Amino acid sequence: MRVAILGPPGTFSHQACGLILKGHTPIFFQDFEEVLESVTHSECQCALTPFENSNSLGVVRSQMALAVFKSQIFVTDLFTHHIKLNLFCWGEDLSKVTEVRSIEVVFLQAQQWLMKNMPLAVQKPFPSTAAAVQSLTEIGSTTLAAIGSKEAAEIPIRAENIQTEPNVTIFCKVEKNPPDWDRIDHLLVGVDDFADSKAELLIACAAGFNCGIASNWVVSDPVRRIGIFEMRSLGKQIDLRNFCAVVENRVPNASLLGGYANKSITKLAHEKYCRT
Amino acid sequence: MSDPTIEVLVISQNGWWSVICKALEISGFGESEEAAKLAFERSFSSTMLARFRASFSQAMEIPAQADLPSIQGVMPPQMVQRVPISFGKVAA
Repeated sequence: MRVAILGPPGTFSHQACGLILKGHTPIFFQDFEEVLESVTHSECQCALTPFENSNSLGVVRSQMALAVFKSQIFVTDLFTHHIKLNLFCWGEDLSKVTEVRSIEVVFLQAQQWLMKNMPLAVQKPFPSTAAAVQSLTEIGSTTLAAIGSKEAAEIPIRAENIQTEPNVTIFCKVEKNPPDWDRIDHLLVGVDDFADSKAELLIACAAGFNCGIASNWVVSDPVRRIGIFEMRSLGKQIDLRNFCAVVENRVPNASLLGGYANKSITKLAHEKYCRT
Repeated sequence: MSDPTIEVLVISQNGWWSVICKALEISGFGESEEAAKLAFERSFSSTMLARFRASFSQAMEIPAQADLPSIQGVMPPQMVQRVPISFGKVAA
């Protein structure tokens, strides 16, 4: 099976793919929209994308990309992956480092370590962790460092496990086929041009089907504002297919983003993020 | 009468906010404290409404208003801020 993930080789998506979807072939893309688009065109059978992280929370670009391809692709399963961050640098003396490179969310995941050890270094965002680490390969400078996975490049690692714990990312498996309606007990619903009035309509629809919102996220970029709702059935034998049809009919701009069974983003977040 | 309070965790991490109730298995997430609380309120209202309607239709018995939990923020030491979230619509 060909699995679309954020590239280049050595990203945490690549690492997660090797652990979660062993034996399948990773295919690398430059951004999350390309990752998901490859599934809509059947270039890949599924995709593995991050949804949120315990330190940086919403992986907004990935969440927005899910909404872009609504009704064409669906989240069908969820996985967690413990993210261990490493600092790569050619030089041994980290006090001489003036610039640290990585994908933007990683700076949040390593914020405590960076504040303590490199408070003055400039944080330069890159499209992925692997791209950031590999950018050091050609330069060879001892004043540049990058943060990424162990597999990112053959460059000396000067500090391991620099993440603030717990540092867990929830990954979504995304497929072209809709979820198996007979099996699922959770739905992921997206609402474009989100407004509170639409949430009220959704809540009213859900109550009629004995369904409730488990979690919701409102994310925005300069172009759009979307609400993402994880709905769960609160009783047995609830016709989620019919519920979904009613929601799509009654709530403007609502569409199914996915469905899964026996696990949920809410539960995984509660298990992985809460320290008490 | 059941305990009329529930515990919520309010977590602030790097400018992102989570409001979590483990007991009810609901949460809300947002880019600000206010957004996360609003998101939590949606989850809470939805879950309570669905449970209320289910119990009404199945048992034809309306739970007393006092049995619906009010929300009182209780945070462990590592949390950033003590929250008294007031949910006027459902508070007893």
